[in-house]
Amino acid sequence: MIISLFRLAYQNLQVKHLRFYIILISVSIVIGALFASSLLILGIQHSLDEGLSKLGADLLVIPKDSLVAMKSALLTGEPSAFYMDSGVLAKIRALKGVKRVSGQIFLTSATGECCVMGNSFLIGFDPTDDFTVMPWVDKKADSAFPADGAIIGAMSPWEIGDIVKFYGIPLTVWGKLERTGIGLYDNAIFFNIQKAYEMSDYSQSDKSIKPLAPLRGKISGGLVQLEVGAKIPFITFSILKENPELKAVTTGNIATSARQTTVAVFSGIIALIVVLVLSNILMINAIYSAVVNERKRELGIIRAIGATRPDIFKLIIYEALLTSVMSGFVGMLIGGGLLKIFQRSIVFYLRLLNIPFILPPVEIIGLMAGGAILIALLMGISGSAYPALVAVRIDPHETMKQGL
Amino acid sequence: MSEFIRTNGLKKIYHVGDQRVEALKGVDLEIAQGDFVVFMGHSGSGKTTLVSTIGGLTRPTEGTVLIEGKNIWKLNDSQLSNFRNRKIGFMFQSFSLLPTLNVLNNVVMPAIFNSNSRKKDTDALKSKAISLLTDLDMKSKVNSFPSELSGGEQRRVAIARALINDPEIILADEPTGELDIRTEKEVIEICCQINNVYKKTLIVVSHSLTWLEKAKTTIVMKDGFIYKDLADPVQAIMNGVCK
Ligand SMILES: Nc1ncnc2c1ncn2[C@@H]1O[C@H](COP(=O)(O)OP(=O)(O)OP(=O)(O)O)[C@@H](O)[C@H]1O
Ligand SMILES: [Mg+2]
Repeated sequence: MIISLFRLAYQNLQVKHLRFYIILISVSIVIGALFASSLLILGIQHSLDEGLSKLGADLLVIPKDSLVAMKSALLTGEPSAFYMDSGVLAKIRALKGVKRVSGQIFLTSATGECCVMGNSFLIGFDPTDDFTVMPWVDKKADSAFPADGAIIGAMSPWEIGDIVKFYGIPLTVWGKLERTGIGLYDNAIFFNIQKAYEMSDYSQSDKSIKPLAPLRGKISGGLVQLEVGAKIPFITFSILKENPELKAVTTGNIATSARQTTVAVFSGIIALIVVLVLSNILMINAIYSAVVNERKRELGIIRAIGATRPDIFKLIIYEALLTSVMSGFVGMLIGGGLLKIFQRSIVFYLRLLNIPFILPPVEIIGLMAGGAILIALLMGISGSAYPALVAVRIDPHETMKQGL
Repeated sequence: MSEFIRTNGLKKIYHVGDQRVEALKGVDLEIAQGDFVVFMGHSGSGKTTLVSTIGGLTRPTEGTVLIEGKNIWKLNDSQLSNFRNRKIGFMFQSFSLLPTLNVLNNVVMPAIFNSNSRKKDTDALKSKAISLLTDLDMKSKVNSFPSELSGGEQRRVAIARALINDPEIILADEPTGELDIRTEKEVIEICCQINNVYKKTLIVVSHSLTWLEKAKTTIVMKDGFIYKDLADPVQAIMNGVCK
């Protein structure tokens, strides 16, 4: 094959000088870490998005001061309870542009009772107006949903037909939900809202358990689905105008803030990677400064032979770029490979933290791979740009010092 | 022979610290096309400096270098690079081959920077390189790397490289330095061929008297000036004009 400027750079790498390996190892570690951790972050966000889109609701209406509690419940599945008057449902339902409204009530389970494990999140819903629970039922009993039926989240330990008991009220597990990736729903137990009211009554009478608040006539939140074409900001405005004690959040909004929360969780890792990227750029800079100095005569000869200044610049940049892109590929293989190998334990560990994780779709992974290579490429360019500018200034006259 | 290369009042002053070295003190020179010029003179007399200003490598402090009537030091960097690439074949003293490229790729390297042959098909370029190497008796070493070649062989590869873009001028600064007498004679013979057969204008700097037998013109330099048309350069050298 006949030589080109690019191939000339490639041939220089063939010598496989120690410094080539130093850059290769160092950059591939950075890219590997970057690729693996962004896969993790995106995987978590992806599973949140998936879950929220399954919710089927456009708006979530909750008491004004409970937004933070709601977000943390959605993200980590940490049970929380807040209440408002159930009368708001009818008012919202009457608004123009609103298609359906479904109320839900959140209870935290009392610990210490028979058959109650951990902190299950108890959610009462109304089967007559529901549109967010029933569509996700994955496995169910043959019968219709009974009055004392319970639907459990995918992560719940029970099986269909089991009897569970909360606040003195026995429930029969009737169905199990698909995995949503949202901790709140994957660990929850859903049942008829009437049963929630019975539980609250029972907790008042049984002195051995910590009583629930009196819940009759209350709900925790309303899930709102809009008519096609209805404008979200407009509906939000009319809901708040009539009910100033409420807060209406879009599910997209929740996803965004969940995203911010995950990024915050991983901010340490991200900061570390940024530092690594910068120090690698400095390292490439130092190595290429040495390379240019060492090759002064050679570069002078190439200049004498007819290379222009831009040719010399390209020659140095190409070489650094090839190295860093190669490192990028190696790094991605390492990062992706490690993630694959430890996927089980990583997912297990994240679940302990109640953080959902589903690997993002292939297109997204491909895009991230492209991004990782791009970053490697930028590292190569920014690391070698200054040495390349120094090389450009090498005078062809340089070759004359020791005779032509 | 028409006027081909001309220098007018060429001066070069180097500044080293606060020291001023006047390497060329006003050189007026004409070289005809097809000439075979050998520059001689003692060390530090300015031979390398003169030749590299003619070759577009060292910018003169004062004066002009006209090649085919064109002032090359008026060109911008890319024009000048282009000029060096097409008009001049450089033969460097030693270690001038790129160690990472094999013989064939070293020879075709100047073509990378030749905007004409960038578009030209590579097969033609390759066969041209091989034919040059064959003429130089280097066909069997086409795939060798410079480190595997003797000094004389490296010199031949450098000659092939100097010829690949078909330049009209060949500039060589001490092309036979560090070579034994026999190899030197071989290289000189090749240079004669380049001058006679390929019709290139040959400009050589050397300390070796062996070149004088073959050169058409001998120019002796001393302290930044030239002595042209000495009746007997060998005698002049013996008499101490140069070392
Ligand atoms: N890059 C440079 N910087 C400073 N001074 C230089 C430089 N190149 C050459 N000189 C000086 O200019 C003068 C002429 O040098 P030049 O190399 O042209 O001589 P030369 O005739 O080729 O010598 P030699 O036979 O030793 O190669 C010398 O005094 C030298 O020290
Ligand atoms: Mg010299």
